[in-house]
Amino acid sequence: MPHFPGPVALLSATILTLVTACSGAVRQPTGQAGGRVVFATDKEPECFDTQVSQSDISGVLMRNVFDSLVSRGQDGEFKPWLASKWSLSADELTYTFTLREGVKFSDGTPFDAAAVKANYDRIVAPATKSKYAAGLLGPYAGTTVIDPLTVAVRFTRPFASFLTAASTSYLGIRSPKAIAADLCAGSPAQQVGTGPFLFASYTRGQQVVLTRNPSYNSAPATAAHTGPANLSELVFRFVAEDTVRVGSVTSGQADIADRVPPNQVGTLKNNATVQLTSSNTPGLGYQYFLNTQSPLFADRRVRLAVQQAFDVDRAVKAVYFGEYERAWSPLSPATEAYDASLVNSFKYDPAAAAVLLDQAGYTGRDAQGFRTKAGRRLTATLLYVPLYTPEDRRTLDQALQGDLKKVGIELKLVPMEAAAYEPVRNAGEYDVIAFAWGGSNPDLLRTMFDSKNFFDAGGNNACRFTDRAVDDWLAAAAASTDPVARKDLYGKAQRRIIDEGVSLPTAVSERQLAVRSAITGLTFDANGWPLFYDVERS
Amino acid sequence: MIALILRRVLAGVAVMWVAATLTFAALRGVRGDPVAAVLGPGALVTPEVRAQIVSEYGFDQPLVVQYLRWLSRLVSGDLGWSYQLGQPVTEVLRGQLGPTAELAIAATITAVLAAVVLALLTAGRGRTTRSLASMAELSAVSVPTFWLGLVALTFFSFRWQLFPATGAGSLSALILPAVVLAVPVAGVLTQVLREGLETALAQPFALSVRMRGIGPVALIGRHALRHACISLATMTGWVLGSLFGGAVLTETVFARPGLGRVLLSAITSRDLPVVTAVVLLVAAAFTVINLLVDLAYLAIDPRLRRRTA
Amino acid sequence: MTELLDARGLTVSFDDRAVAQDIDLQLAAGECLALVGESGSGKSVTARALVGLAGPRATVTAERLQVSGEDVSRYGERQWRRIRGSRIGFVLQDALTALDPLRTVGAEVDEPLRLHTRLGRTARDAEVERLLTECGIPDPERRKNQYAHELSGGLRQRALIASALAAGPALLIADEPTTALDVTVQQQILDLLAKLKRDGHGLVLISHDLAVVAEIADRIAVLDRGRIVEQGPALDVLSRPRHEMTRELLAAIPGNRNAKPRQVHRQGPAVLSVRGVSHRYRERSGQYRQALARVGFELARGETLGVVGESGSGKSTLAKVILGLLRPDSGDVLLDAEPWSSIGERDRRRRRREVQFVPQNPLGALDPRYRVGSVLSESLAAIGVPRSDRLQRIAALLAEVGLPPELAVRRPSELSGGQRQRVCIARALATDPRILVCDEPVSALDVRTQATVLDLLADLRDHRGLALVFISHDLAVVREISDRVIVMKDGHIVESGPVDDVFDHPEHPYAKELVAATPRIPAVETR
Repeated sequence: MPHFPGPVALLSATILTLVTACSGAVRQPTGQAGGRVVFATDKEPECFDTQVSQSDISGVLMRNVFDSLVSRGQDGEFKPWLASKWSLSADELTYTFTLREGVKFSDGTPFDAAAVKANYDRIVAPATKSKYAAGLLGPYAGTTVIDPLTVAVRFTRPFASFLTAASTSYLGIRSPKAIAADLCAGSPAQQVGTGPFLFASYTRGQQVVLTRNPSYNSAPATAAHTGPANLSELVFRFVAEDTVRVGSVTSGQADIADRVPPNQVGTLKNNATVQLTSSNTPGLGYQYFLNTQSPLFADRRVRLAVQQAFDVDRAVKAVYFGEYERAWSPLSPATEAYDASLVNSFKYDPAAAAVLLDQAGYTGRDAQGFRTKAGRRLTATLLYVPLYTPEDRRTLDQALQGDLKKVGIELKLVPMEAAAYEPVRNAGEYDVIAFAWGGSNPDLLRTMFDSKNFFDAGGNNACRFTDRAVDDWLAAAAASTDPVARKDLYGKAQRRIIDEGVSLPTAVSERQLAVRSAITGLTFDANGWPLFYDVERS
Repeated sequence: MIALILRRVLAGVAVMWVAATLTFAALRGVRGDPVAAVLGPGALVTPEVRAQIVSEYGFDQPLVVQYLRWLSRLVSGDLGWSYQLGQPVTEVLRGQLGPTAELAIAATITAVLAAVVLALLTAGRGRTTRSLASMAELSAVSVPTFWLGLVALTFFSFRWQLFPATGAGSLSALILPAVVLAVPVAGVLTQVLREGLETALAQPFALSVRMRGIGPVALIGRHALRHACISLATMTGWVLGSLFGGAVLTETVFARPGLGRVLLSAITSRDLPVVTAVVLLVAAAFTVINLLVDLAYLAIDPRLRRRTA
Repeated sequence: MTELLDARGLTVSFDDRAVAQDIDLQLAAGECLALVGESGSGKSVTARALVGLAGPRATVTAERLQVSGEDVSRYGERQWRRIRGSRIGFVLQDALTALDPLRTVGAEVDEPLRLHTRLGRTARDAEVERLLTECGIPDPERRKNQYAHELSGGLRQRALIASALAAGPALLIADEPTTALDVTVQQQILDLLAKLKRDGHGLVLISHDLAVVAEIADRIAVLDRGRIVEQGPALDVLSRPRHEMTRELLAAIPGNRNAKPRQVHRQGPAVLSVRGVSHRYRERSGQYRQALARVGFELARGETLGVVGESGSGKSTLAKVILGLLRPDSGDVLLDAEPWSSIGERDRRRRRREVQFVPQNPLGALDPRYRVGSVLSESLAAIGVPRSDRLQRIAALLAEVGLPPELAVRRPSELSGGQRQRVCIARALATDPRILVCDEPVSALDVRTQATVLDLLADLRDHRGLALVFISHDLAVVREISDRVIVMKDGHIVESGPVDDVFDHPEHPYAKELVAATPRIPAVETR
């Protein structure tokens, strides 16, 4: 039957030609003075309007386009940025900013007090549909233009977190000329700020290209240099797949890889061309919230039994290859007012857990070895949405499930579709749910544990925790501008949360970045987010 | 011929109309608040925004009026507004169709070429060759695209640096994803084509041809291949169409823009206006492809020409 | 004179099983040798072995195998290819499938020219036209650009012959070249082959039908179970058959055998009346074609009406109307003087069992996945035979059509052509019908099987008192079984009457033409 030496030869020839033609297709990023840096990150902004969006990546990306009034270093100190100085009124209700002179938006509009007012007023306007920034402004009362370079921001009650909020890119200032109803789209005409980079182009599903703002003259005092950025071009490339992101950097196709997964950290440590940099992520790490209103966890003894039955050290070590520390507080160590005294404040003790469960009346055992009380098995449900639950977290869930089984508690992991999950969650029909929440402001504790902040009220109190003392401490801390008092109040709240066993922290997650050796100057803000203004290619 | 094209275009318009009607039904058939369906889950909006959506979609109008309005908006190219993304749907889809078509077409061409070569090499061969070929095709079909993409990247991009790992818009960035996407398709097409070749070779005319002294190469090249191309065209059209909305894994691994990813994220976030638009786009792609397949039939098989003349 | 073909002791076997054994064949230029035998007798595989195409699994051995004086017995595939088309031309049956349907007939005729000659494009073009003309195709410039399906059955068979002749082979092998053709067209093709013979071609003609080869064969070789059982000059073989198989083949030729005397003729009133039935189809082109024009006849119990005509004459449309599957534009069909074609489908369904159908192609009419028993059981169930009685009824039906009961567990693909047709007849009988419509029921069968199936139908008609509508293009077959006959052309009945009257004294020119075209064995003496 047929015999074809021809096609095979032809095919190999074709492949050879293609290969030859395409080698050299991978160009090293080179370019104009300062060069180009490609930052490969995992998420893509769904909306570029930081005044509307709540996503981290929008904040990280647009930080390069929008400046804020003040800058906050990793030490937590506030430094001048668009505002050269500021003061707080005696009644703690009004912040007055003196603005930097001679700053222009990249469309030529001068930056002035009216621009600040236009921005802040827009953020709180209902038509803006802000998902996050409006919340950052808290009890915002209004902004008053005193003179072109002096502006007063007023609140209805003392609001100590305002400077922190004002330092984020969510309260970044965009050109009033480019302010319209809907600014989510990634079009250069919409995204106009005073920042070190200009929004040049966006290809959905692929990348955003930012180019240097040649007339930039408003660098924050926290930065290492002034004037235009060092890089001529900065590319945010959206690469969801971990392996590809890391491979892009090791092969030189990208310069910085965001969020290197712990399982790849080991191999990168031996790679001479790539350095690993990490920043601790402030906020609440991945933790389990026990629903204090579920029949099971209404009993504090059962919550504490779970706390002592979970071998967190072993689970975290196994899941994160020994790269991450275990957590002791609901807040991660990088967060302001983190209470370090919680470290080693409780321990893994299944025997003690068993005693607690006996006390709680779960003394029977069924055929599968689970504890029972009055013939009913000790069963808890953990709801999760597979789509939003990365593999490492699922493995942690399974570790918890295994540990609990050892003391006779059955933990059912119940996957749910996102849409179905929400109403069930809002109604509190679960025993356990788990998530993480980033942010440098310890006021986060309020949306997580304040009794007024249940899900259906728009908060995130997943424990359905109702503790008057905690409510009061958190309110007082938020209103206080005294760092010592704040630290004390937040510390009390953290200790109570652990004492009550309502939150079960897991790991202190770090944001690991792989950076090629030629790249220097990468810094992080108080959120642990990367800053590119000082980045250089040598 | 022209009449046929006209008929197919009309049929295509009908298909589009059905698709539009179905998506309308899906949008309005959602139980509960239609405004919530448009907005997606968990959205908290002011009464003003709600009123704007109601008037824009005409939810206060009778169903028939809403339907006609919906159709006329689609005809004028207005795909609506994604409230979740805060931008017009056309803005969301802009720049997605090109890379999608590019990838789908490149992958299909690669797969067809591979299938032709492989089918020619294996058609009518002995049992060993055939079972080896079947095994290879089965593994090609069942190999996870995601895994294959990562392996291809590891070697061709990260290690040997022949192709860029990510991106779109250049030929070199297209080759890896197209080949990865083509592998399972080639597996299917090879089987279809070989089966077609063998069916053709079993027909009396093949014996006639051999009795003229024609060798196997010319028998396949001049006669059987053309017969086999009929089923190949059918399958290729189907594959090409399905790649328009269904290349999401490849798009993800290679960080390429594309309708598949837009559709997936729209579905998971229940962004119905975007889902609707992508569904309509894919339906349109299928319509065009079907027309092309029909024309291919006519070009291949003269017997169909008379019947449709 | 050199022999064009000289084969001695030719043996073809598959997996050590000989399907043709010790075949001796010689053929000179201008001579026609006919290979005749039943299906499965080894005639086709012998013919294919002569061009080296017996199949990849076949083993071919011969004491001598020469083509035009050249020893081809040790030829490899490459050498065979040089011979095929240039020394030996081969014509298969049914040009619709034997020509590549996707290529123009011109391209098909051109192909051997390209391969075996050094002619240039224009010269080949002229040669293609000459060949088409030689094979009796008028207007070759136009025809060569047409496809097989665009030509009539006769023209495309001529084109197939032209393609076999293109590279000038002296030897032509034709395997059942007229089997799928209407009787008048068959005659034309036989005339063409006779002309080629006169022009000096050597011809090997393969057929199951002695009547077909009788006209042009100089010598006849009769095959039975892979061996030549009788070989000699055509007249000798036909007039003084020595072997039993030859005699059986001769006896099986319709009209040539001693049909059983009719015991029962027309009994009582008409069970089927067709009155002034007209029907026309709208074709794709938008034109109407008259398939039936004022057709009328009556049929009584135990009577057979033959319906004769070529393809397209309206025979199959008439069958559909009688079966109640097609409502005629005008006219009536009555069953027992009660309306049939004009009533609603629901009313008709109650009486469907009374009118049954026997198809031409039993393989296509039987679901390949159903066993014979299931096929019959389904029909029995349709008329409400309880499950418990069915096995017994199935056995009785099989016995009635002359099949052993163990066949009930076989599938259609495991049966011979004759057995399949018997299963179809049994299925038709399952509902206890009164009228049987048979559309070309024996055309797909070879002569001997044909004869046995015809006998079966006649028996059933007589024993059950069936009224039979027997549709065929084959006059001899129709004559053998029918009482009366109607001849159809373009939807009209052009002649009708008692069968012997019509065939012995045809009046309409078309009827005359049909009768004249029927192959006959000249001056044959049978026992």
